[in-house]
Parts: sequence; structure tokens; C-alpha cells
Amino acid sequence: MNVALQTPPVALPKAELPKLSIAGVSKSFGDLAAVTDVSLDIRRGEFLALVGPSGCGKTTILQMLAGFEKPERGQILIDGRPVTGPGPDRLVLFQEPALLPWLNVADNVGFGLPAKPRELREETIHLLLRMVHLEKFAHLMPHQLSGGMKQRAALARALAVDPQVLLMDEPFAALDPQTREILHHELQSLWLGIHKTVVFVTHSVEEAVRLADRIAVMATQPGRIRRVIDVDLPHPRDFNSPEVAEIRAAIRDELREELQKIARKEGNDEYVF
Amino acid sequence: MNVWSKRLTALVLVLAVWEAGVKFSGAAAWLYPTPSGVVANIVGGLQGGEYLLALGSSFVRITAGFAIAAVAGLALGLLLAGSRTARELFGPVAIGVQALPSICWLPLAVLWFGLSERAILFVVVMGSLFSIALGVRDGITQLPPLLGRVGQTFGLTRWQQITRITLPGALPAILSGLKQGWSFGWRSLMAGELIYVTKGLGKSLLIGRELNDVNQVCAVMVLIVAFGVLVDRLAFGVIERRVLAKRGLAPA
Ligand SMILES: Nc1ncnc2c1ncn2[C@@H]1O[C@H](COP(=O)(O)OP(=O)(O)OP(=O)(O)O)[C@@H](O)[C@H]1O
Ligand SMILES: [Mg+2]
Repeated sequence: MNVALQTPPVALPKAELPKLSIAGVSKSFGDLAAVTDVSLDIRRGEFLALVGPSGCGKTTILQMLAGFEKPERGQILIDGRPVTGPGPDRLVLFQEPALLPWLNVADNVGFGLPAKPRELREETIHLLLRMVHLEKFAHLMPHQLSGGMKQRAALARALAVDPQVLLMDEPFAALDPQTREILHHELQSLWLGIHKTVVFVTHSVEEAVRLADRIAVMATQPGRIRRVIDVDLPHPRDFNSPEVAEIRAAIRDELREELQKIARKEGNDEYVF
Repeated sequence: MNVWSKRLTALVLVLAVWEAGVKFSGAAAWLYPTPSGVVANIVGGLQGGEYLLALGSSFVRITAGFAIAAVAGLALGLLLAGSRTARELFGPVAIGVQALPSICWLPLAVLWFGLSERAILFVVVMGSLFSIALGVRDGITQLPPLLGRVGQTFGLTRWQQITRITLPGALPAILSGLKQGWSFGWRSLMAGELIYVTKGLGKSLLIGRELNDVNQVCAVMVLIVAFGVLVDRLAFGVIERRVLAKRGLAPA
């Protein structure tokens, strides 16, 4: 596939350009093809979830969107321009909170903010801390926080620089179900208020259906996109509604086929359920 | 009984047995020091001002030498951590040189600088430089790569990455490198001060030998240990504990 032909014409008005484009991207590590010929456009202000079995290349795709890894073939575009490296326009929220252990919560949240003017900086930090319900903990050090509080502080730190795109790699995977629920709620109300473009990697079908506008289900060996499912339902979503049940079933079917394929390849049927 | 009173009791007991042993065995007084003789010598030396002068000039030397070693060690450590080429070329050399007892620099120092202040300074710098450099290097290379990525995703420049991520992240290891460098530097200084008669505690040690004053020799040894431990515990220990506690880490 000729990559040059895929680059959208520059004349297209900005609002109609996809925010992010994954255009015919392949990436391998040594002999292992991690991702093969993936193409996907992510619209401006869209919440896109990436689900798929372990090892299918979700993290690899996110790392390429972030600019930490370079595609071997194809291109990653932001606003029609190739991504050349990491930057604060595509902020990454890692699976671990990755707070800086030598800064207190407030300074961690303000990490990406300019030092001056000081009043503005402090006001911004204060607003963000309130947004993630950590005002009372501004002066604690990261090691004094619970896992959920750390991840909330990391979220506030990311939002502080007002990124156009948030890239999240299973940010809540390590949390207990209750905390995860609370953070889903917070993330959702935040996102509904500011409509950032979000790419959200997850193993959890529930998480994807709860949060996303569109869900890209990935296939493995080689990693590629199997199907993209629209979730055209208003927030907050009613998990007992037939629409949600239908979408969940559709994703589960895709994943089940994928797992059966893996099981057949590996010659054991432990994975089949 | 807490650990300090146990230690004190043990110390007093040992000293008493020692004092009695030397007094009542008829051992040669110019060969065997007594605790009371050592204490008297220290008190006298401090009151007469000689030991204060000696301590003062040793302190000036260690401060100057350590300052040079800290700056150079930080630069060398950054270079070793940041450049693969530098690591491949000089890494093994740095480790080898660090293993060299610092007294081995003495002959070279004298050849290059003669019997001078500069020779002493040279020995101190060589004694502490490489511990500091290796501490900096290890602190940086052991930093979780994730923290570097945090800096990158926030769009830090190379310089900001060093000042806002690398150095604060490596601070605990840098501090322990500095601490070790200081204590190596202190030992090197004592060796260096033995090369010729000049001010400093090393000189007081030499004079004690020449006067056949075994109590003075021991008194100066006590002062050297005391000052070394004092700086190690009070200056470095306190800073290190604070830095570690702030990050929720236990002292190593
Ligand atoms: N740095 C690397 N070096 C070598 N192989 C890698 C590297 N990163 C990823 N891979 C391989 O690429 C494939 C895709 O990995 P990736 O981390 O993208 O999967 P994932 O979908 O995020 O999996 P999980 O859900 O378990 O996190 C895997 O087979 C993995 O072993
Ligand atoms: Mg992953």
C-alpha cells in the first residue's frame, strides 16, 4: 500500500481532519510482527477504546501514537502532520501513575505548568486538585497516597497542560473495582465537560462500553484491527439496557473467536470457553 | 537499658581494664598508650590550640578537595550515564581507578607537584572523585525509564530532562556517592598530610611519632575518627535521611 497516497490533502479544513490517523502502520520487534498494517482514524473529541487479547499490540499502537516508538511502515499523523516524537499535545497516562517521588501532590500536578506567574500556577493546581478530589492531600508525598489517589493525581497532572489528546494505557487496571468505578465516573464527567480526544487501552469490555464512543477490537498474531464498533448511546449508560447488552455481546463474540484462534494455533484448548 | 547506655558501659569497662593493665603490668609507657594519657593529650592540645589549628587546616583542605571532586565527579558521572561511548571507553577505567587505594596516588602527586599543597589536594581529589562519579552514574542508570518518559510526554527539553527528572531522581544515589567520596577523601587527606611536615592532623600524627609520644599518636587518631564520623553522621547522615524519608524510602 502506498503510504504517500493515504496522507490527507492539506487543503481539507482542519475541523474535518481526523485528530489522529494511523495510516497503514506496521511494527515488529525482531522476528515478531507486533502490529501489521493497521489503519484507523480517531476523530476530534472522540473517546476511542482499544480492546483485544494480551499481546495483540495495543500498547505498541499507543506508544507509536505517543511518539515513543516509530512505525516501521506507514505513518502516524496528528492534525494531518506526521508525529516525530513525544510531546505535550499527546499526553500519556501510563498504567502506573508514575508520579515523581520527590515532589508533593501539588507540585506533581503542576509539573507541566510554567513556574510563573506563580498565582496562576497555584490557582490552576488548586482547581485541578478540586476536580479530582485531592485538595486535602495537596501537601502529601506520593508514597503517602493510595493507588487510586495516585492515579487521580496523575490524571490531574495530565489535564493541567490542557493536552489535545490523552493516551491512556490501562490506567485503572491495577485498581480495585470500587476505586475503578469512581475513577470511571470522574473520567467520564471530566471528558463530558472538556471533550478531549482520548485513546483508551483496556482489557475490560465493561470499561470500554461504559466510556467509549467507538471501540476498536483487535486481533492477534499478527496484531491488527478486527472490527470497529460504534457505541451511539448517551451517558451515563444503563448497563441493563438491551443496547448495551447487544454491544457487549458483539465484542465478546469477537474476542471469543480471537481466543479460539489462539487456542487452535497453540494446539491446546485451555483458552476455549 | 537502651543501646547507648550499653555501649557506654562497655566502653568504660574496656577503657578501665586497659588503663589498669598498662599501669600494673609495668609495660613501657612510651610504647603503650593509656586512656587517661590520650584524654589528657586531647584536652591539652585543644586548650593549647594546636589541635584546633590542625583540625582547621585539614578542614580547609578536605573542603577544597571535596568541592573539586564533587563538581568533577558530577560531570564525569553525567557523562558516563549519558553517553554510551563514554561508558564503553572509560567505564572500566573508572571502576579500576576507584579500586586503587588512594595512597597509591602519593608518589605521582609528589613527582608532579613536589612537596606542596597541590600534591595533597591532588591526592584528596583522586581519592574521592571516582566514588562520586560512580554514585552519580549508578543513580542515573538505575532510574526507572518510566520517569524519563514522563518528562518526554510533558515535552521537556534535554536540559530540563536532566535538571527536572534525572538529577532529582538520582539524588539519593548521588548523596550516597558524595558521602562515600567524602570519607575516601578524608582518608586520602590523612595519607597526603603524612608526606611532609605541614599543618593539619596528619602532621600532628607525624610529630607524635617523632617525639615518641604514643599518647599523642593515639589522641590524633581519635580526633581523625571523631571528625570523620561527625561529618558523616551529622552532615551527610541528616541530609540523606531527610531526602529518603521525604520519598518514603528507608535508609540503606
Ligand atoms: N520492546 C519490545 N521488544 C520486543 N517485543 C516487544 C516489545 N514490546 C512489545 N513486544 C511484543 O509485541 C507484541 C505486542 O505487545 P504489546 O505490549 O503491544 O501488547 P498489548 O496488546 O499491549 O498486550 P497487553 O494487553 O498484555 O498489555 C507482544 O508479542 C510483545 O511480546
Ligand atoms: Mg499493554
